[in-house]
Amino acid sequence: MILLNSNAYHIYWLGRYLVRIYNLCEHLPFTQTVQVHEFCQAFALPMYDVTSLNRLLIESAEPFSLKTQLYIVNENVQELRGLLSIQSYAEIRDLIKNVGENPIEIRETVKECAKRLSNENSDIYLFFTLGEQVEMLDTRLRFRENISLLVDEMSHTLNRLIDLGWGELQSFWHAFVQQPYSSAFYILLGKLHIMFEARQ
Amino acid sequence: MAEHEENVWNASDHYIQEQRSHVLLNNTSLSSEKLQTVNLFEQLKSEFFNEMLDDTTFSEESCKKIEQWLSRRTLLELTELNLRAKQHFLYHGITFNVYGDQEGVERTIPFDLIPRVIEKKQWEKIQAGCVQRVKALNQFLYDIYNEQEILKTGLIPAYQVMTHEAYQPLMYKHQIHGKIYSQVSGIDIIRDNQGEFFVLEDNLRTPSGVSYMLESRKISHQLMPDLCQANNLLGIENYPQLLKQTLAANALVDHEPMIVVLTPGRYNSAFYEHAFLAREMDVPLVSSRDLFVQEGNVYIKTIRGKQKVDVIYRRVDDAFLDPLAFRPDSTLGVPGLMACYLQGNVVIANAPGTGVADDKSIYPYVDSMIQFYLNEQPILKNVPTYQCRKKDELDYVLSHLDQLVVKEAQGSGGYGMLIGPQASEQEIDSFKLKLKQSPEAYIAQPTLKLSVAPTLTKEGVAERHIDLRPFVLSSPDRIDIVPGGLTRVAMKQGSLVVNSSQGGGIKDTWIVEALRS
Repeated sequence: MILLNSNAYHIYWLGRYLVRIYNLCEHLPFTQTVQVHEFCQAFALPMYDVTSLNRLLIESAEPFSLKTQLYIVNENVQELRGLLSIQSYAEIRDLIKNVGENPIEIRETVKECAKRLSNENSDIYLFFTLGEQVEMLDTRLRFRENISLLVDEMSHTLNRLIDLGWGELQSFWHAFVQQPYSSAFYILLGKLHIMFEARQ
Repeated sequence: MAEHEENVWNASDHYIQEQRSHVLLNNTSLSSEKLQTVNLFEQLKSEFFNEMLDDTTFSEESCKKIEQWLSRRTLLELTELNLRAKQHFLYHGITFNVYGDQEGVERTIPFDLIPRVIEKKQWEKIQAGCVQRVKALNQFLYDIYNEQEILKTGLIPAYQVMTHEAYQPLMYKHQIHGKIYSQVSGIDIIRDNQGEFFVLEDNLRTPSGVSYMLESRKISHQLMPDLCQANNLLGIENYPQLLKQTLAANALVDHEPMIVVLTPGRYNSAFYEHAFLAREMDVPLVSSRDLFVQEGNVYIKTIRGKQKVDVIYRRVDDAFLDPLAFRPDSTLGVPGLMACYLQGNVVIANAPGTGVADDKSIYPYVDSMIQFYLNEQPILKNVPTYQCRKKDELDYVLSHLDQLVVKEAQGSGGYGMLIGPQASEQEIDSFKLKLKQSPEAYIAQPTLKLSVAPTLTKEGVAERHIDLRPFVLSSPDRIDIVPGGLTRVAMKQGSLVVNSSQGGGIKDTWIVEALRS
């Protein structure tokens, strides 16, 4: 199977969005103002109150709402139609289409989608894992949590990418490992996104 | 199925006045009873050629076998089987979008459980006729882009070809491997009241529908495993492999060629089919952003670096293939693609410029092409066609508009046509003006009583009009055609429209030697 850069890009973002949705569902519904402020600060949102934020995340069509993010997941799956196996495509599509409304059901759906993608070709799984790890790292940096274990895991993933010929990422990754802050991380991501587009 | 679909709008007077060809099972008590046995199909007898009853190549016993299978089930059971087919389509996303549909609703193509059956010897004639036709059309294409011998004889007016919108000057004197311009062709076939097969249209650009042909067979196996197995159907499942072999055979390289399927993207109504074929052939499905040209070659961008492309099975129209050669505003094509193609560094299937041969204004000449290039008589006839660009034929058409079907020479999807017997006086007068203004843009055909096949409806089994689209695969050394093709059926009572965007459905097509149950 030949994996196109564009396919890899969509798989990567599929990984990112599924983790993003899963993490969001772990917070929902917010019950305490402190939690809400921490969340809003991490994601550079206005300081909503508990009720407003819950409503925006669960019910609305705002860019950061669950509904919008599930829509983006579906969009990415559609772009992968010619690549995913018939069964995976149908099952993931069905899962997203019939996703429940409460955060617990949504988390289960996300887990099921990830399970199906883990059964796909190893190249597909590599980029899916990359997306998952990037999103987890991004979230942990935002909440100032410990990232050392995740950095080790992601090193392994990046080494596999380098074996494919993505060696240009190496210096950016080293720069981030040396100075594991958001700024270096986003420079790394910028390079990664360019490589999806212009790899020749 | 948006590409070059043809509405079968040839209506008969009888059809307009009275439709009496279905079994009415309105009585709700019958919904739990078995369908009427023995004479289930007999009751469908009407003035139309019934594919199941009137084909003398079948033994009467053959027809009874399907009747018996149906009769052993209630209408509810059969309806539920059809519903399972719909659910299968929905679950797998085998849907299509209708252009211009504001809601952007995805629709499934209605599938009818009752197969269309063609006896093997009949099929052999259709097969031979399609192969002959595609051979002649490919030779015609080679000729008009090279020595133009047929034009010199005057058999086909040179003006009509050279000024045709689809004629690609870039292709003039470009040598194509094996002289194959249309590697994938779809021939639309109908049957008249005498059971005679006619070719309604040739599709040489980007014919679609093969994925539905394959899905119909898959569903038939799921819903009627016993009947399918017992009848030893001629297989069609190898189509994707045959297509891949055909594309590979057209390549210009000695090693295993890199083949890609070029799609306009997922908003194209046939995207499902593009994805299906790419996956079944195990080749990349690409859009314009995945391809680039470098030093005269076409490459795809993969995670392991660029890879040279040898064959592009394109499902993008000519005009959008290359913004440097055709429409400059196209974002669906690849800048520089035509330069690579003309240098012989990549194969495009089907070749640019094939559209001139599948146009309705060229269609009337195909019989002549067969005689000219192959020195043979056509095995499959054309529907008689009047070319409005010819004065005497225009005069005839103008004075018989209420009896004819008039179509745009470059139209598709049933738009821009007039169905004389169904048109009002005002519509006819309005169309007369159009014809007088641009006669070269229209052709006309007499109405035909199209054949029908038993089809499951809410009320029971009823007759519905059908057509057939076999798919022909051409490479320099051989021509392949999988048995059958796609049968399209007009699902609505009284309708002759098989177009999927207007409610047309599909049936599985069985080629058998003798039916068994």
